[in-house]
Amino acid sequence: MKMFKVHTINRHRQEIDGKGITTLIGLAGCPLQCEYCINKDVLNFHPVKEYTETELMSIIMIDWCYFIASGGGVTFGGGEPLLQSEMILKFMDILPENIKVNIETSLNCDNEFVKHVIRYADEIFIDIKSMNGDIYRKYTGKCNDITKRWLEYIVAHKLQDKCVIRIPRIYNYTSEEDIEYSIRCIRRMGFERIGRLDYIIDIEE
Amino acid sequence: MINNDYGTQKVEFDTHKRKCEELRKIRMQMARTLGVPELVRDEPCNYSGQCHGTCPACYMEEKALMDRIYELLKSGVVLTIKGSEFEKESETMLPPAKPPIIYNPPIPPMPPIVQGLIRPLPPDGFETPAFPTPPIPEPEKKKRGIFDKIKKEK
Repeated sequence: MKMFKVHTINRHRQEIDGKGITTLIGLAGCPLQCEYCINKDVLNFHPVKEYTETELMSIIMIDWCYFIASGGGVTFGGGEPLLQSEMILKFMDILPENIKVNIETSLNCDNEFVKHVIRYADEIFIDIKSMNGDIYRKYTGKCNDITKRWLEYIVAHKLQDKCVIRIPRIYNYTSEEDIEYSIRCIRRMGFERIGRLDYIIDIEE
Repeated sequence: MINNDYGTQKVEFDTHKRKCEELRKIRMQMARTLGVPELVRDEPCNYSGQCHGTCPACYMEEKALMDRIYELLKSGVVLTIKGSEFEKESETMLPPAKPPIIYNPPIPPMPPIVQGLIRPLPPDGFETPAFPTPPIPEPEKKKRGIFDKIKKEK
């Protein structure tokens, strides 16, 4: 029987991963090897707790009154949550309709359930790192063809309104020109909701 | 970078106290909307020990509010969210609440002080609650039917 592989569950997050009060479920595993990853221990699926979709729902429903009051819900992050797309769909299937489901992803994942998660999630936060393929490969160890393909899929199915594209400033990897280039590419594709952020890293002096 | 355990703990303490107060204000707003303002404490929490921004006392208030929402949904009152506010759909009188149950849970004990430093908080993840989760009301149980839709498309 398939189970969620969960690394952390973080409650009472306010307006960070979506509207209202949300519970962040950090799923284990990620195809990328980002140098400044803040969750490096999720890469190898260890340590994790395993839950069925019903068990996970009964855990997060402890905050049901806040979800109802604030229009919030559950955000799947990680790691890369789309690696467990099938489980996310099973979870969404049994979750009450007025509780939102958001996804925080790099979109660098391909399986038969990803497109359904993209279609049925309420909001998707996409960290694209950089639209420059060389910078992307240097920082993450993988190419960004799959990410680009899913961005095109989202545009083709007119799902841009629920997507927020996050473009980070990555110390030693992206300059201001690189960030502007990524913003131009994303705008040209048809996305309007674009946010910039800084990766916070500890620099030992 | 200087690692000051006490400094780090103090920042976390302030963050969690702030979270506690913000959640209490949300509960107060909900309680007023639901017609049961007595279910939530009027004043900020005066517990000075460590917590994650929530505790058994907070949970008891949440449970009381969930019971009240459950009661209203069962009696047919429609509750909707408009924008970021939580409102009743109409201004009709709410059915009277059952007599409120006063919860007096024990306050969690302060962890012992070790070598002049406060013992670190457990990781800010989720600790399996000792409390049962509330039942989901019938009107809320409607499934999204995602897998049915996927099968139809195939």
